[in-house]
Amino acid sequence: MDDIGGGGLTQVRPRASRRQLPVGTRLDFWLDVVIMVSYIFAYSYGFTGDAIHEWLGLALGLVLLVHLTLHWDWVVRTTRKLLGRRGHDRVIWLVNLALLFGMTLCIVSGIVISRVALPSLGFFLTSNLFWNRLHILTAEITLGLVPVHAALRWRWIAGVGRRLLTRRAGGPGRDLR
Amino acid sequence: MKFVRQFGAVLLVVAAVTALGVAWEHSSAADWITPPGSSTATKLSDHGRVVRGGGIIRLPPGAHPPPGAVQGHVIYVDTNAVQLDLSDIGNLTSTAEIVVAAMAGVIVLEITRRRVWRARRAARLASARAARCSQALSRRDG
Repeated sequence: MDDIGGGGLTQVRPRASRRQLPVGTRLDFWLDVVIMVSYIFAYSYGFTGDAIHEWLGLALGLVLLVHLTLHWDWVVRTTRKLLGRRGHDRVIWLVNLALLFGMTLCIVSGIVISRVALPSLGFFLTSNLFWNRLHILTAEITLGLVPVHAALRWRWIAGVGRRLLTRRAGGPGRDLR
Repeated sequence: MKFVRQFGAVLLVVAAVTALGVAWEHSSAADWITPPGSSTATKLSDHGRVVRGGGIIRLPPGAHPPPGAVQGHVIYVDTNAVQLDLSDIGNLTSTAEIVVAAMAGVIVLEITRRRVWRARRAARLASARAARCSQALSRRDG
């Protein structure tokens, strides 16, 4: 999502709007959709209950590692050029950094206080009030940051989503050229 | 190969953030989220039982606690209870509403910011064009 205009994996060229989307862009888009939906479900603890909440959180942690890896080029490039960048890029970088901290600490604290997933895998960790509070605090912070993170790239999401849906409406695998 | 290398870098960053979290727990800054005196036995809704003075150990039903485990620090958890609570679907919809509302707010701000930027750029270009025209006219007249 962060590679728009950067010549990376997910770049969407305006002139190629009628061509089939690259595999990397489609993977990126659907991975982002899965992460967003999973996060909404995982946050809705009263609805999911302990077991689904914890297993979903663990799966989310793994998918986030892949998400971060796919955008690592953007992270490195933007961090290097941070001083010379426009204010908008700096805002996105700061939001992403805060999200990295929030999400990582949320998942790690969730693992430490796990009551179902970890014990069923044979791991029995001891937790305390700090990790419980940290889990709640970081979950609330990330709930605020996740939509901001997505909305800052809404043009990319809308563009790719429109092209994907248009292609589907035209029939499976049909090229609209 | 590039993916593996980048994945390794990501794991390092995640490990560093985790280490910061552990350091936070052991520093005096941990009082920000667990003020002194708040470590008394409480029943935290939805997030597990916290026992006075230390950690808790979770075991599947029927398992024996490890030697040395403090009585009262062991809870038994049924790991087979995997089901959605459909009566609490409002919890899911309210989360989705928060996410959608926040996204909508940021998108509106983004559109406004871009419009302001375009208007400023157009005004700047127009004034530059006007200046060029007036220069050309004065050169011709002079």
